[in-house]
Amino acid sequence: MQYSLRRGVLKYLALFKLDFKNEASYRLDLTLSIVTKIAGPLVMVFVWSVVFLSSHVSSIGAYSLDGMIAYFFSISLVELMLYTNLPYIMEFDFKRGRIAANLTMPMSYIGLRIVSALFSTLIWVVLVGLPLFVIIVFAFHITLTLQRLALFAASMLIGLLISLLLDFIIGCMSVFTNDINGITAFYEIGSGLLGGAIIPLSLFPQYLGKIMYVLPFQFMFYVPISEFTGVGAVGVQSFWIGIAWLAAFVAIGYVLWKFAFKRATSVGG
Amino acid sequence: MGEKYNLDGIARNVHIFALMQRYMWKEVMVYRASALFLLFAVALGPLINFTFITIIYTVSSGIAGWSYYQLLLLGGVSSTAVSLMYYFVQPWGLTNLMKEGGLDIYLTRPYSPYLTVLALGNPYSLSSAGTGIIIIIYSMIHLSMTALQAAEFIVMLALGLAVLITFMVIFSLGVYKLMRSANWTHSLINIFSEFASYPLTIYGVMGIFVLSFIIPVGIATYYPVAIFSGKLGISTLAGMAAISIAFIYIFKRLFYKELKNYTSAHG
Amino acid sequence: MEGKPAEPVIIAEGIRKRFKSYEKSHSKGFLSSLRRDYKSIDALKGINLRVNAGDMIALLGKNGSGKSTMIKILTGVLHPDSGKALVLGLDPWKDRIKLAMRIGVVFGAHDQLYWNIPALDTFEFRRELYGIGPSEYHKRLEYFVRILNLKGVYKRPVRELSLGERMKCNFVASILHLPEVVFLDEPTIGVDLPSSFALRDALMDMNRRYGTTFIIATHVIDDVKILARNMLIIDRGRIVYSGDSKGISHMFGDMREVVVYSRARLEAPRVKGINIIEHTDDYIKFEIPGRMVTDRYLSAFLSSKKVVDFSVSEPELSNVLHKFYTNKTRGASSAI
Repeated sequence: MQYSLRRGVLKYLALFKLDFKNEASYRLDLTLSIVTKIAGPLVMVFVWSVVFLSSHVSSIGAYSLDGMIAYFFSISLVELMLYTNLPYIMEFDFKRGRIAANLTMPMSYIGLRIVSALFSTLIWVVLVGLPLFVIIVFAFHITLTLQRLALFAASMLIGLLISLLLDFIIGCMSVFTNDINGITAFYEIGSGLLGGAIIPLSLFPQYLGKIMYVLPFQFMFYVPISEFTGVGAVGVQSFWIGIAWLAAFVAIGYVLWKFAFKRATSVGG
Repeated sequence: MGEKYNLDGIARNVHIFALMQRYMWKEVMVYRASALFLLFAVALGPLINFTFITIIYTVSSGIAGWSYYQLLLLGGVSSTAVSLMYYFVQPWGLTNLMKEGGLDIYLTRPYSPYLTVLALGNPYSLSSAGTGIIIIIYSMIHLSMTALQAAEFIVMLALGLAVLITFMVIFSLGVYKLMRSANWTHSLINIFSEFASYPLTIYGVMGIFVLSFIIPVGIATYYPVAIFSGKLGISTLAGMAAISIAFIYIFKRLFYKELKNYTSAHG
Repeated sequence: MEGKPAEPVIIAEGIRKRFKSYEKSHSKGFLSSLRRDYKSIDALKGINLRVNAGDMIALLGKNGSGKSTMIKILTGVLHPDSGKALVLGLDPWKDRIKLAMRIGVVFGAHDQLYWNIPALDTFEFRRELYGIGPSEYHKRLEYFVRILNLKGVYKRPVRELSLGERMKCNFVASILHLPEVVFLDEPTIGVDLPSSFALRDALMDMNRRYGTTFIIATHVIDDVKILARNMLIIDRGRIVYSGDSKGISHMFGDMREVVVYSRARLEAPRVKGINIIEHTDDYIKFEIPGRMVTDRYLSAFLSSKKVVDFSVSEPELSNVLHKFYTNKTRGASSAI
């Protein structure tokens, strides 16, 4: 048992090292990717400053100017944990027959792919996310109580798992479609819009807001950010919605995987 | 064989470009359902800015000096310009092609390498350009305009687009020369196009300078709309037009100079 | 050809090209991939070359010797650091478009074909690109389909074709305009034998019919043996041999290979300069200098009653080249 655990850990550590070297192989590439992720929200600093100034108001909805800017910087933070390359990797595996080689490795295919995707995310979280987290907390004077931190972590975990499961589901769908570019484009635009990556969900008209609050995408952006910044925090019932969606995606993913695996292994690459 | 052709003529270049587009679209449409679905998904892109501006003007009075429809127009022009830029040149695609030596086969064909580069863009961007144009028309319907304003707008937009495209070509070659990888450029270009979706005046003098003369995306977005809206006069139009022509000429010359750094699959 | 000797179709003088190569450190540590060193590589160190019209030249050399770089300079893909190159009297870099109308280039690694649609679409694109008239186009297409056995192939989507079929279609796309000079960079690499044979037949036929000049960079010895009248060997950026295969054999003492099958073990003949390659109880293979073929000791040996069968032949070109690359020469001279 101890031997298996040690071997298991070493196996995944080797995988992490490989993923890290792969991500870091283009040094300037990595640096500039980091810079662009941090520079992204800057435009919102200017836009919202002008909007607040032009409107002569101290708050819009539940957001002060600082709160609004903190929200958009937090989008950069949470986005680091979303949208992996998993669908494209799985598409390549299925369509080019690489799945055959993966199935001969001493790890389950799903384990290999999901863990690899998580490692890639972890690298970005460590390199960019942690410093960004600290900068946002201090720059915007965010008071993080233990309860808020726990709720932030829980909602972020739900969001991360929802994103990963959706990536996995799209990856499975690649067996049945010619390419998944349309699906991923639709997913990224839709989840951004409906998840609060464009503007806080609480600023949408009420009739639209009601729809968005039952969708899973709010956990990718709006809910974790609200818990983190303490502005527009949602109720506990939202977490049950998130968990229900998680269960639904696990079930859908399981069924799709069965079909996809059967199809991929019966016809080869 | 071929001697009857003026090999450098505009008509021939247009004909060859149209030919390449024909076969590119033929290839794209082989998987019609996938292609149409992707075109539809990409077409939704400009709606993000549309939604954002609509909500801002619902919950606040927006940006001083700019009406809702003027800002929508700016957003539409920005989406259209950037989409058309991607239609003609995709920095990461071009850089990766050059890195793998894939440009070799194009450089042995009897047309300008510049034309080659302009034909290697992303065909799907045309659908987001289409949405952008719809937003432009929708905004203009709600704005008063004269024929002169419309003409000034079209001239500045056309010149601005030419500057943006020629700049992006030389930018791609610069990235290839210095880094051999352009995976980060997508995010960078999106950030600058996001900046250019709002009036440059909100960024101060430095911002105006950077977005007009360093990363000249503003020439294709802000200036046509500001001129159309009467916020900038005819002298600005003349000045920006002259600068645009100078940029186009310089960028194109730089392209041929930088092409000498192409190393195919070596190095 | 009658009249005064034609100008060479390719003239290269003092061509040099240097590349900067980025090297990544491959140590075990996590951060090893962040370190990067640069190395300058002189791919071409002063190439001088003349090729006449109608020649079929094989360009040989180890990987990284400079063969592809030279082809890319001659076709206008790369710009030389120094030196002069003229192809059909045109500067490949400055007159790229004009030259492209008169040359064809076939890259083994990258093809001209649109992936998801039939090769026929690529042919029709090329027809319009080169301004080939409809009747002439159909005549040429018919010719290439016949000679390359492409019936039923060129109308299928390229993604459904085998590598050999793709290479043949790529070849047609690249020379549909019947260029005067054709450069081929490893055209048969990875291609099945029937397709390789078909490509070679097409090259030889075009050379005969149209006087097309071919420059073929290749590793495939059969391409050299069957196609090329002359060969150029490039090694570390310089041409180290220019001539025919006989010439290169001469560099190694013009050896002959003798294979003898016997009923019982034979002792090797006492022939001056003999080199035993293999020797078993019923078989012996050896090399002797060409001038020793008529040696009486050899004649006596081959006339022995124990000898069942024998052959005397020139050594395999691959073996000669192998010796060349490993520098096992006897009285070899470096040429050009």
